[in-house]
Amino acid sequence: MSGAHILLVDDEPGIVTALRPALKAAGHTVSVARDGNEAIAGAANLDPDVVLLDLGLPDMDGKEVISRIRRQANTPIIVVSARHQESEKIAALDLGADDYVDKPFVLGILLARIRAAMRRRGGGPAEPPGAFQSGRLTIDFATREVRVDGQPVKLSPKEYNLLAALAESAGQVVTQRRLLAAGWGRSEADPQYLRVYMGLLRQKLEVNPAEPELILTEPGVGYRLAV
Amino acid sequence: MAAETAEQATVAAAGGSDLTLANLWARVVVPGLMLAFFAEAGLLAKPWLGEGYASLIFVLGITLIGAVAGLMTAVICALLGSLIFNFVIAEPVWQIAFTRHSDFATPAVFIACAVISGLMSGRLRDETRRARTTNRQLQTLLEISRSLQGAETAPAIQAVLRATLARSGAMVPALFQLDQQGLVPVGANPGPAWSELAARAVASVAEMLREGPLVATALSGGHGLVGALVIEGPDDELSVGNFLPALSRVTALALERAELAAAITEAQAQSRAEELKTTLLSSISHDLRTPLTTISTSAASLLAFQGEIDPDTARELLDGIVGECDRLNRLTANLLEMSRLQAGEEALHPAVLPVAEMVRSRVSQLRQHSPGHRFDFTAPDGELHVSADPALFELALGNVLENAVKFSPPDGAIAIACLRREGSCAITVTDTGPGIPRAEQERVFERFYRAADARHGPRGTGLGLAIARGFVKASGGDIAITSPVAEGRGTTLTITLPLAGEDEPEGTDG
Repeated sequence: MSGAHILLVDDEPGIVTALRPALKAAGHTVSVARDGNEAIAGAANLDPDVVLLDLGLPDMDGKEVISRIRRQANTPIIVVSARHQESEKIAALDLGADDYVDKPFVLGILLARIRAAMRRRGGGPAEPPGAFQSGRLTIDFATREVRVDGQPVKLSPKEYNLLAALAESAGQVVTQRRLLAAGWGRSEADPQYLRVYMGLLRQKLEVNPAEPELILTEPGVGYRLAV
Repeated sequence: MAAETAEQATVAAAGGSDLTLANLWARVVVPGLMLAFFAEAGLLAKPWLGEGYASLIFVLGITLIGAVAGLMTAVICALLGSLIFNFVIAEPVWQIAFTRHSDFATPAVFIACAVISGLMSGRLRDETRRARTTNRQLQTLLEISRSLQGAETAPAIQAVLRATLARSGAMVPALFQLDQQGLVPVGANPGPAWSELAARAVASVAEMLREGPLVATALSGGHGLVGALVIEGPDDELSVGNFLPALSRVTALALERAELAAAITEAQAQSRAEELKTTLLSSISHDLRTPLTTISTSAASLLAFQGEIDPDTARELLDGIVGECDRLNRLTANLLEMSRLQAGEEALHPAVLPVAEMVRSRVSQLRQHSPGHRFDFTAPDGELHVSADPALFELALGNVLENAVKFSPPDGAIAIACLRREGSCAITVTDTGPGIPRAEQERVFERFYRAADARHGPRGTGLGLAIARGFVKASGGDIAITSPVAEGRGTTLTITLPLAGEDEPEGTDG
């Protein structure tokens, strides 16, 4: 995969200094914004492939930056923040962020999340992909056929809708609200249903449902389909 | 019960149980003189008006005596008057004779008049007395409940009761409060007899307990028992009726309100402390994660991309690691000293410190650290000694100086002076930064306050100046901000510390 153009938004000079060489070494080009206004201007003018966004910015809250960027562009936004409260993460995702990574992060994971965001951007939301394939899991969106290790798996319509919603953003966290909307048509449905159905999906898809490797829980936020 | 007691009081008074001089005058002399006067008038009127009209004059007299002297006296006067009338006025004169019908009718009418007028005047007196008692009780209750509205604490309630009851009846009240330890006197302990009676009042269901001059009542408010009230020497007038129960109810409600207010204040203080702890934790975890992120990312980059990173960048990453470790270290020091400051004075270990020397050494460290800035240090009064905790002094000084560096432009000048001012040691640090708006000047000393535009250079912990102020206050000094200093820019931070015992240092260096 070719390198991405990354807009790194952080007001901590130390983090910019530390991250820039790693991103460059991984084949990406890096632009830096030090506050919210620079980030919004950069997202509009530099046309980055991915935005890495810190939430604690000196001039405005990072969440404000997310909604302002979303008004103009569909650029993938990965929140990279030291705020670990679930409410902050959910708010950021609901405002249109694609993913989040906790600070301090493992460098390899951050790079993998950037790759996942790139893949999604490559597919593009305009033309839905005909099929999804990752590891042991294959989904044919046209025939709604799901296979694990080549063996067909029978899913109920709700289970399929949930899995498809996860696969659409494979590798990224999908909030409970989005999953509830995908499965039940109402984002304010009881998250308890979600736990039950994710359990059923794991029964059918995971090698060991007690130690899921495919459908991962993001505690308090949602679920993520591993890629 | 009120009316009954009042009537007993009246009867006792009418019976003349205590024959004082005043009583003798009112009960015997005045009625006697009145009787003699009307007997003489009847005697004088008889030749003109006849026997019938003379008896009317007697009736008038006896009615008046009943109104003035009460029932008993009037009846005695009526009997006496009948004999006098029979003897001196009724025919045959100068002898007691009961021969005609009128000889029986006259004393009967006299006595009837005496009874009616005596009873009526007695009732009037009772009414007046009762009205006066009720009025006094109401006045006292009104005054107490009005004053209690301003009483926010149990001692204040006690004071209100003391003042009001002493004024309106020479009573001494003692308030007891019910808490986890049991019944506790508010203020000084009034004595074992009082406490014992208060405890019995709380234990029993009786509304009032009396023992000697003491009256005790349990205080129960809207949410149950809150304490007890013991009063010494309530007089007869205040003991009757609803006065004491009403007083105890008013007091109970005031006491309950005071307890609720105290509980609310405590709850608020606790929730503020809790909130502060939460803010502290989230702020600390954020402040710890930021340098950790830089360190781990730099180290991971060096590990993962060894071949692809040029030596200059590698050097930069290593510098970053060292710098952020230093920052973590400072954060930890600040946190530790903060908790030591909060632990109170016992945790501080003051020593006599040479201020000028310590400031000079710190400034020369900063010169190496920030070669772009210009530092001017002056100590016109030579060495000055203060008594303070050395570690905290170093930290507070460092925080103030680093703050000045952080807000000054990269080539800006920072002026530091150490001088004697009005018997204290003053350390002034003046930067060439943007200045601090007046509205924010007090807030910069709050914990976790960060200036809105501290965007260049590493962000602070928001603890620096809070620690500086905590340290200065704990050392009996003061910290103040002056801004702007010149041309709308610059800030001067002045720390004043009391000089340590005036043992003059031997050398004066400038």
